Amino acid sequence: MRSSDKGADKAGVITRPPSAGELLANRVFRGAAYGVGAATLLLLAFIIVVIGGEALPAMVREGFGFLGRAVWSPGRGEFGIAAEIWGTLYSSILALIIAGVFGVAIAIFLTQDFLPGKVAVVFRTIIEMLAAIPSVVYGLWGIFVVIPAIRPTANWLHDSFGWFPPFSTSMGGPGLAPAVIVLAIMVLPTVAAISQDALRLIPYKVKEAAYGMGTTRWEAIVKVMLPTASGGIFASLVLGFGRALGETMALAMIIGNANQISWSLFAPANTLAALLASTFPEAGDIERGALMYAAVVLLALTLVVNMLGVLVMQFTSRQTVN
Amino acid sequence: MRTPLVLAALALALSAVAAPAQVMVQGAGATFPANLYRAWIDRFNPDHPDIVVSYDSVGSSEGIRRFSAGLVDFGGTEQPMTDEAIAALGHRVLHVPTTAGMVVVAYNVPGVSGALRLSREALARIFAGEITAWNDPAIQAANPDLALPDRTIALVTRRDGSGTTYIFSTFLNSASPAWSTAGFRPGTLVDFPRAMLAPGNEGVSARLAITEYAIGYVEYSFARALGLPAALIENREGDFVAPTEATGRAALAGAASLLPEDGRLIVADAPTGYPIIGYTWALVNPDREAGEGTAALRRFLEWSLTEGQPMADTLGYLSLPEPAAERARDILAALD
Repeated sequence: MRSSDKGADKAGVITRPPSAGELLANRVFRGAAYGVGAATLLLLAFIIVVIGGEALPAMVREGFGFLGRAVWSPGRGEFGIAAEIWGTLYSSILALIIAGVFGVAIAIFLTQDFLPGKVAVVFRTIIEMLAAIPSVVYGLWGIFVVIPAIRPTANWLHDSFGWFPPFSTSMGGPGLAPAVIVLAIMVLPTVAAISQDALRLIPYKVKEAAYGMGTTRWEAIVKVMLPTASGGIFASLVLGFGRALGETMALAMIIGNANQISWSLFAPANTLAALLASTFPEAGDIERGALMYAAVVLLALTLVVNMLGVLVMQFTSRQTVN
Repeated sequence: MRTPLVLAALALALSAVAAPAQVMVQGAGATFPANLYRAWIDRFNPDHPDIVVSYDSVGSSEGIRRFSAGLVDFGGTEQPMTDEAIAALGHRVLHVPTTAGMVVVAYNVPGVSGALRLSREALARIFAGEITAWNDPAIQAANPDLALPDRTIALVTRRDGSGTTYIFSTFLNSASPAWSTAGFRPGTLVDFPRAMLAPGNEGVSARLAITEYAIGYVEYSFARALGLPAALIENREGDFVAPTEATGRAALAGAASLLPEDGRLIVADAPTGYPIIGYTWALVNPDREAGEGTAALRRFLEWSLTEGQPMADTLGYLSLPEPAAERARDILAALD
C-alpha cells in the first residue's frame, strides 16, 4: 500500500491499474507460495511413503505382534518394540507432568503482573534459550550432572520404599529417572511459551471484571484466568508431549538402552527414538526393516499428538478472540 | 565458507604433487584389538610413507560382513569364519592371528575394588539374569571379606555383533550349566537379560565408568585405560585368577600355543591361568589380485607379526607365543 501511495505522489495520479510487471510479480509470487506450500505437503507424503515402503516387508512379516513383544534380537531375527513403546510413553508422560507444572507456573508468574514488564521479558528469553541448547549437550549434562546428583536420593528411596514398584531397583547410572528430568527441562520452553501466549491472549477486561467482582489475585488467576486459557495450556501440553516423544540424542545417552519393561524409575529403559538412533548404524537388512517399522510407529504417534495439539490450539484461540 | 574449501583443495593438490603415490590398506572389524591396531598404525604409517593403513573398529560381525563384501583389505574378528561362510564367498580366506588377549569382567561398585572374586557359577548366573543383587549369597560366598551392597546389578553388554561377546559367551557356556539351562547359547549376539547395550568395547567400558553397581565384559586394555577394576575369575582348576600379563600368558601357553594349520582355534576355557582368553584374527583374501595393495597389506601384517608384537604386551594384550607367531607368518605366506 505504502509504496503504491508513493508512486502515486510522484506520478501525480491517485489511482491507476497495476502495471504488467506488478501483475506478473503477483502471479509469480502467488505461484511460488502455492508451490512451496504444496512442496511441504509433498515432502511429508514422500517421507511417509518412503519410510512406509521400507517398513512394509517388516510390517507384513511381523504383523501387530511387533507392537506387543519386548525383544530385540538381530541374532535370532526376533523383533518387537513393546519395551520401547513403554519407555517412550512412560518417560514422556512423567516428563510432561513435571514440565506442565513448572511451565504453567512460569507462565502465570510471567504474565500475571508479578514482575515488571522488562524483567519478565528477560525471564522469558532465558527460558526460551533452553530450547536452543543442543540435545547432545543435555545428554552430557545428564550423564555428568543429573545422574550423580540424583543417585543418592534415588538409592535412599529404593532402600526406604523398595516395595513401591517405581522404586523397586537401585539406581546405578543411566535410567528412566535422569532421562525424565532432562526431558522435562527440554520440553519446558515449549510448554511455558505457549501457555504464556494463551494467558496473554485473554483480554485485560476479563481480569478487570474478575477484580471488579471482588476476587483476590489468587482467585482471579485460578478461577478466571486459568480456565479461560485452559485450551491454550492444554495445547501447550500436547505439543510438549509431541516433542518429548520424538526427543532422541539426549535420551539415547542417558536412558540406558536396555530392552526391558519395568515400573522402576531407576532401571535402564529405552525409547523408540533412542532405539532408532543407536541401532541403525550397525543394522543388517532384516533389522533395518524392523527399525523402519518402529520409525513408522513413532511417526504415527508424534503426528497424531502434534495434530491434536494444533487442532486444540486453533479451536481455543478462535474462542478467546470472540 | 568458500575459503576453507579452496584451501583444502589446494592442500590436496599440493600433497598429491609433493608426496609419492601412497597405497591405502583398509581394515575394519573387531573392537577387541582396536587399541593395538591403532598403536600399530601410529607407528607403521610414519615409518612407511608409501603406505597408509587405516582401521575402523566396528565390531567383529560388521568386520566379517565388510570383508566378505570386499569393502576392506582385511577384516578383524575373534570369531573365526565358518567353512560354510567361506565356501559361500568363492575364494579362500586366511585367518592370520595377530594377537591374543583377555576378556575381563570389569565392574564399578563403590567401595569394592580390585579383589572381587567370581565363581564360574556366579558369573554364569549373573549374566543369565538369575543373580540380580550384589549381595547375593552366590557372590558373597566367594568374597567373605567384602561388604557387598544391596544394590541391583546393572549388566552392560554389547549391542553390535561382537567377537568379545563370542569369547565371553563361549566361556560362560563352558563354565557352568546354569548358562545353557537358562536358554543361552554362545555367539556374537547374545540377549543378556535387562542389559544396557553399548556399541563396541569403547562403549561398554565408557558405560561401566559412569554407571555404579554395573558389571560388564571388555578386552583387558579397555578396562585398564579407564581404570576399571577387573574381577578374579575361577578357572577350571578352581583357582581365582586375576587378569594380568602373567596369568594370561600362562593360560595361552597351556591351552593354545599350538595353532592348527589354518590358524582357527577357539580357547573356550583355559584350564590354567586366567581362563577367558582368545585370539584375534585378520581376515585376508589370498586370491585377491596381486599388486601394490596386496604387497602393502602383506608388509603391514608381516610387520605387525614381528616388530609390532612387543607393543601388544605393553598395551595389555598378549603377544603371540613363538610357535603361534611362526604359524601366523606361515599362514600369511600364502598371500602374495
